Amino acid sequence: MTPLPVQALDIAAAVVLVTAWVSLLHRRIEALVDTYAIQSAAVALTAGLVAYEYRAPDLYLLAGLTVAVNVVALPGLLRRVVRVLGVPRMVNMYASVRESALIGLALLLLSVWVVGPIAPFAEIPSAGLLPIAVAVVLIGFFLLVSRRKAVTQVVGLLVMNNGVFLAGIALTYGLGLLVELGLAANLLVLAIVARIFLQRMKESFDHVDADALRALEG
Amino acid sequence: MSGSFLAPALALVGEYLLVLGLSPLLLAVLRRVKARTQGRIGPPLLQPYRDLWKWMGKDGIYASSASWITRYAPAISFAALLAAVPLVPWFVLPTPLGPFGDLILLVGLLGLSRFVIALAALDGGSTFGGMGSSREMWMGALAEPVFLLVIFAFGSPAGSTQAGAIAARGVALGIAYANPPLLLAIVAYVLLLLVETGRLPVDNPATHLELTMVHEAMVLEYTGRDLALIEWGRGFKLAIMFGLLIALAAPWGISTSGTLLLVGLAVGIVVGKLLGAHVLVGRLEARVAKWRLFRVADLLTLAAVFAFGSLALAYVIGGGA
Repeated sequence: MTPLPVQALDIAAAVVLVTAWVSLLHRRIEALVDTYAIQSAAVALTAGLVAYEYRAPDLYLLAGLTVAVNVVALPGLLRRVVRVLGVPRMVNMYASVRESALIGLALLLLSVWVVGPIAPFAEIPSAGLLPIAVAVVLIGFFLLVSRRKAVTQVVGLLVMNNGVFLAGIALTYGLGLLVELGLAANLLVLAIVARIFLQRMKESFDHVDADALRALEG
Repeated sequence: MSGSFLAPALALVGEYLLVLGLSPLLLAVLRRVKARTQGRIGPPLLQPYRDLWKWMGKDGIYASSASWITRYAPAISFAALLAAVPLVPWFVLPTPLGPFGDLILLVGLLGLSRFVIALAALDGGSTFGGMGSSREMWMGALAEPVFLLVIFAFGSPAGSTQAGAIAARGVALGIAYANPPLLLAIVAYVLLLLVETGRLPVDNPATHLELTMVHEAMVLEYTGRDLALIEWGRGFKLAIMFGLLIALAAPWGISTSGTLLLVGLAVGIVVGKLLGAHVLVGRLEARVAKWRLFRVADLLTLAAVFAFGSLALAYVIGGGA
């Protein structure tokens, strides 16, 4: 019998994979962002479960950080970008939904085929998550390259980020290094989002003064 | 238990009473939940029974151009669905009829019921009937392979396509039955269920708008007893699909011993789960709008992808380990 938290870990990782696939289906940016928030919550859950099961208290910090940044702050910011700056709400894509879904499946099969035989050698119970994590990274990458809008591309990058997190959590149980890397990755993404935010503001209003946004109300 | 023959027979009768008797009520609960979520009061819970009673008392009326197909189709469709009921483990394991048929047979029976109604819709010669059956068969042709794939996804860890065997493995494993491949298979099944039973994002069962109706377009010509058979069959097809989901996804609570108390408890549990599933779909229906017809293919592609992914993951981490 596998211990219960490890099983819950598997399920949470599967939720991450499911949401990665579902994100390929969406045609509206808001729905995509919502799906990303759910996925991040599942990633935070895996971090919390690993922290509990393998007594790695610094991972609680990572879980908390993931909730604060990836579940609350970033989706909020993205929704704001879409709403305030009037980015058209449809997701423009180079591949249709059906093609995307099938390519997503192909990416899972690829990672199962390539990573699956390696995973058992890691000799840790949660190594079975590795194919899922790699698949999520690949799907995020596909989302990144197959969508036209900058905001959607950011979501693709964030999905990749979640996949990397998942792999790191599953394999290393959160070394201090991972926490730092996670922080750095989050900051990077935050910076990109802020950049788009400012760039669009500049294009739309010819300035980046946030106070002036209030003048547009009413 | 006393007789080796008597107990399964009683269980079988119990299953039919449960499914046939309760499915109109479950449908009414679904409608009520949907209405309440949308701020309406909704029809009373006994309304489907009243409708069925009213229709039962009336003769069918047939178009002069209709042949025997129109007359017999509702009965054949209803009988096919009736035959599918014991294939699903409802509250006792092993299933009362034992290994008399598996889920592939269930897919075939649902397909037969669909095919006969589509044929009858063409038989009447009305435009709507042709349109409805064209749409229905298009969806069916896409849904059936996906249904088989989903069944294989559920069945591969148990090494069987018997719903009874799959559920028995789930009950024996307890909570350890839940794993990533199962989760993927459940998502695939739920997507498929919406298509197979014609619920809202795919087909709106409450509308008679020409442009959008699928199932309603096919049964437009029917009235009286025939309509009662079709509507009743449709209600318990929903119950069958939910019952199968419950048996495959969360079989805990199905009684494996023969004591009367435990079986009674299992009946209570399965009714509770069915009720919960109908409430969930009612809430979902209140929230989503009907999709464009050709997006159904997207939905089914995704279901196929999930089912196939479930099989792939089961190969790596699931069943074998």
